[in-house]
Amino acid sequence: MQKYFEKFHATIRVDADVLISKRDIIVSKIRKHLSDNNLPGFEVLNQGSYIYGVGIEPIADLEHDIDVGLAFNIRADQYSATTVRGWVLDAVKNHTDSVKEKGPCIRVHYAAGFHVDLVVYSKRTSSDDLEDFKLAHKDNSWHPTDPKALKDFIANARESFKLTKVNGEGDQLQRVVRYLKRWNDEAIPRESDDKPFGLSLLLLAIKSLSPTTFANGYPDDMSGLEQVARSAASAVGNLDVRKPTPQYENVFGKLSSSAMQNLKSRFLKLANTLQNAKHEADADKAAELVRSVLGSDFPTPENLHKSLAAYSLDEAIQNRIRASKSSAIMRSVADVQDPPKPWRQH
Amino acid sequence: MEAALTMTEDGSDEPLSSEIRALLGHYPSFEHIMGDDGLAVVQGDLEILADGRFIDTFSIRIELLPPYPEVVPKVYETAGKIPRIADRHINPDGSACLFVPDARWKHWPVGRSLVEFVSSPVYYFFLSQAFFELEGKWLFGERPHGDDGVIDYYKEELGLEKLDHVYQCIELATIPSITQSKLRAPCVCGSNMPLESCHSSQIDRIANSVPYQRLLEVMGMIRRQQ
Repeated sequence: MQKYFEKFHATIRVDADVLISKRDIIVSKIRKHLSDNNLPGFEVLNQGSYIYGVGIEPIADLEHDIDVGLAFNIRADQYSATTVRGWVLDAVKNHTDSVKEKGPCIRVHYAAGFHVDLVVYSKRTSSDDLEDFKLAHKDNSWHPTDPKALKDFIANARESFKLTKVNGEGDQLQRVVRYLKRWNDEAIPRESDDKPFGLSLLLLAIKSLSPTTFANGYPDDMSGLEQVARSAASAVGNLDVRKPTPQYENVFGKLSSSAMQNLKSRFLKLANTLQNAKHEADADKAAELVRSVLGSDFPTPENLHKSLAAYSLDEAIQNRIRASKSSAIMRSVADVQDPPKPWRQH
Repeated sequence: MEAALTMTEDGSDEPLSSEIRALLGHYPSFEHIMGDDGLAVVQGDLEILADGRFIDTFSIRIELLPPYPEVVPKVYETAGKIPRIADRHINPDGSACLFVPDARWKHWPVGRSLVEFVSSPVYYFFLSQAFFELEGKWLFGERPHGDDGVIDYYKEELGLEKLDHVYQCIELATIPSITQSKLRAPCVCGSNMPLESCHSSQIDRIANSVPYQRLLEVMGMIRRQQ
């Protein structure tokens, strides 16, 4: 079954290159606007699923999204949240067909089926180099937050999954979160207040998943996914997973009680289906069961066998190594400003 | 400075400059050797790591040409891993084209250390080469060859497309002090905004970072293309 899950993961994982290029265009536009108007500059904080390595291909009416933090080097008591959001709004308002003010962010829609969420922060660095972040909310208040600490928390959590990478591409935590996100999209294929956020599923997985392998040490993603689903389904009362950074809120706390009930039932169905699949001796039949909860991108026996036959193992490994190295390079330069471009004299 | 970077015949008497010592401390696989005419040369394997994983290694040679640091050191890839062709941004003499000379103030301004030279423009050049090997495209884009690449740099710096506008901005950068009346006059880019609130900061930056003589050369390049 692990091969099915790996094929599924390769199908749903998103290639962040296009999103990164859109981010760079919009960030340059905002920088230029601020500099032209003698307004304070900002530091880009790359955040969100594509930075944490848990982005997935959208289905139905959902869109690719990319989160970009803009940390202004100002004190929150110097300017109102609306003023600082206004600088960014002015810079992007004519950039695309649609710019929407959401609670914690400004969403810039592109016609090509994706959006960029700009999250505006004030950042004050104290004399002992401690950074104090506040998020500019649509309600004109500044909310205490710590995006860098959240990123560190996720990176630390990934450390214990180091040995669960498959062909060097993605660790088990990332794969399981991607499965959960697709499972969530399959059940609610639209934006909805009744739907947990991607970050909520990531924090849930960090809380309840431990590296899960077969006896030979090879990752067992199906059991890992079952572990998370079972733990969520059997939680007493409402799911309660706290954000590790201010405001330390329950990331499932905004769900209504009926949405919470529904979510827990879905987790129970997921856990039971995966358990049944594990007890199914015929791997192809087991795959059909999993497909019923993870959706039609989960490979059928036919397309798994076809894809395995299409590539020699060497080719597949080489391709994965190549993709993994390229992604690592892209991630490593995400914050580089004004990089040198190669040239030739003659 | 030049003397401090050369070695005597037996390579032992004259102390290494602190710059080279710092570089060897930072890159333990590098060694300092004596090149032709006593030229200071550092060579070794530059390991390319990204996001904590190993990507590739390039054998490189860095020649610290006098007068250092006014002249940007020449960097060569010595193992023949990169084809010596224009499209891979390697000069005919085998040296790497790290950036257009006019962009030096941005990528390695005078005053920055040799360690910063290797860990920034040199590192990014070889990281870009490794990415090109993997994906067949340039990580940060590339400049056209020759004069076109230089002009492309100024277009980007000024955010302008029209050669005539670029020319006029560079011409203003050669003037020691722009008069108040000129600053209040409409910008040369045609925006109808006063120069002082349009392109004057970019022009100042160019004037402060590129030598006067070079600006005249660039104006000549643009004229030849118009």
